[in-house]
Amino acid sequence: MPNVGLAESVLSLFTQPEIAASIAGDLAEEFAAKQFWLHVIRTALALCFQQFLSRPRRVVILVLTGFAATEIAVSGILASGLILETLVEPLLIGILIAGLSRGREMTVCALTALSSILLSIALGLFGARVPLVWHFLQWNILASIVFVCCGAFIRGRANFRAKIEV
Amino acid sequence: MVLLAILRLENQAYGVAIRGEIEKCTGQSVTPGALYTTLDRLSEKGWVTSRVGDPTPVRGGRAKRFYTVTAPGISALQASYRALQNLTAGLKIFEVAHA
Repeated sequence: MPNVGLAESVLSLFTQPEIAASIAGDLAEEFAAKQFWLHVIRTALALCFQQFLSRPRRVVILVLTGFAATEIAVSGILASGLILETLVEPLLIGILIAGLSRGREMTVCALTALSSILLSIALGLFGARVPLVWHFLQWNILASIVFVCCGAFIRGRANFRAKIEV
Repeated sequence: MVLLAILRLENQAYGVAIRGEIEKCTGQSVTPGALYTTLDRLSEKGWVTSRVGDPTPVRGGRAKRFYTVTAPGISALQASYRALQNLTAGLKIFEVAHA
């Protein structure tokens, strides 16, 4: 039997907890271990895309806000060289965008992280020889990880509160 | 297709059964992700409602969620069926299929 609880937690990042529980149960009933996790990931991605399509304008605005704030912050950090800001600023940006995107916390944070990573890859491909670009890449990857953690934490907290209220 | 599958399954329409019914009737498989996002959209439109069944060990203790088509859902299905009939009326290829 695959870890249905973990699958439920992953799915509940992109849909209501009670729906996530029934989806995880359906997938456990139908698929064996390897197939089960493949379908959990594919279903989570489909639900993420569905959340984006249901309010595309709002999601795009929030992602662009997070992305712009990230890139402004990275410029400041690279200029000042303060290590503390390296963790604090993405954490604040992540909490801000996750807090503004109620019900779509993980989708917005994941898309912001994805856009930061894509920018990093693009810069890595075209300007990797410049030393400053490596710092930029490292910071963007760290910020992306922090964003995903913020999205998961705030969404998880909302799900926990909803469970208590029920 | 999802609405029709739910109607065909009557009181036993949950995720696995709906996918199975669609595959049986159309010969095409539906991915779980596509099914659950469709069910989510149909719920938002108010075309389906759901109730929770009893948890079972084979499902890791998770309950089945059974779906039912609502009156607006049936109206939407009837409208789609009428539109399909209007579009196919007079087309010879469908006369052969119906005969």
